[in-house]
Amino acid sequence: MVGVSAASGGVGAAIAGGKAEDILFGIVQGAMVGALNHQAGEKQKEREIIKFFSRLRSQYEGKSGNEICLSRKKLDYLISKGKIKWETSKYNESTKTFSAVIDFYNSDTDLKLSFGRATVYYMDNNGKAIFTGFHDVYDFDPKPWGTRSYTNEIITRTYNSYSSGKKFEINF
Amino acid sequence: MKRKILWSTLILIILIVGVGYTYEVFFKRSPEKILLNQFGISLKKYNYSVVSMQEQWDYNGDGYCLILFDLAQFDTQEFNSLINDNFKKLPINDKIEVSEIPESYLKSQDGYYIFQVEEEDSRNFRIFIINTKLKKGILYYQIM
Repeated sequence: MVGVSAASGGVGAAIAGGKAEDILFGIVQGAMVGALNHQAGEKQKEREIIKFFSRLRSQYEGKSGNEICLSRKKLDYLISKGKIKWETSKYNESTKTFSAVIDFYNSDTDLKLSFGRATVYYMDNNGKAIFTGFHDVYDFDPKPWGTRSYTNEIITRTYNSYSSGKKFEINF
Repeated sequence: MKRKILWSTLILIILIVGVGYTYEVFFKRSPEKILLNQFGISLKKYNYSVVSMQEQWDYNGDGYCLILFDLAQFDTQEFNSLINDNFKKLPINDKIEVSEIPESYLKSQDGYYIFQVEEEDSRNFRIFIINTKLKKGILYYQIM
């Protein structure tokens, strides 16, 4: 996208009868416009995905309990945003895949609130992980006092009472 | 006026001490309290130390807690008095989902463990492993 914009800028300047400096300026300007458009497009894509995650809460509050199946694009997005804890990896002989914890503790607020910690599944392709699955349960289940930190338990219980939703699975 | 200030200061000090005391006694999380809370096991009468404690709780309620106890001063008799009927012998035969527990503890051969898992989601479990050879105890639980 950036290359096409840069070329268009340069060609435009040349057609208008510009000097070498004008053509160069046209290329730079075109490249800048292209880069900004590309960035805006990426941000828009990201926002669309994030909007999807805000729907998890609506799904919970809707109490249908229906599973949410992630698309490959959304799985890739989650993997790029979460921290995979490779040290937790385990090999499952029957499925021939590895599983590991993916942690969203340091991700943006939307992901933090939506997922927290989840499980990812992957295959090892010469040292490169090929992700094949994702699993999480979206719930706000109260636990006996003292299990979680008090602040965390209060937040979880408050949200659970406020929304009184139904838990559901998120899978890929 | 002076008396009012004196009383106000006194009440404020009492309040601060009271809040601090309540927090220390009832709300402050400690490895001992967590072990008692999770498995009903008290280490009060034993000679032990806490090597490390780490926990992480997300806003949606997910998280984990990992505590490592040093039981180097324990003798056979003390191990026997600590272990109750709920313990099973190592090695671990139960299926443990992905967790933050170091592999070396999961593969322990000598000692005992208690394992409790949620029926609905096997990723939510708690475990207390006592390695009698290394003389270490590890408490772990997670909610996902």
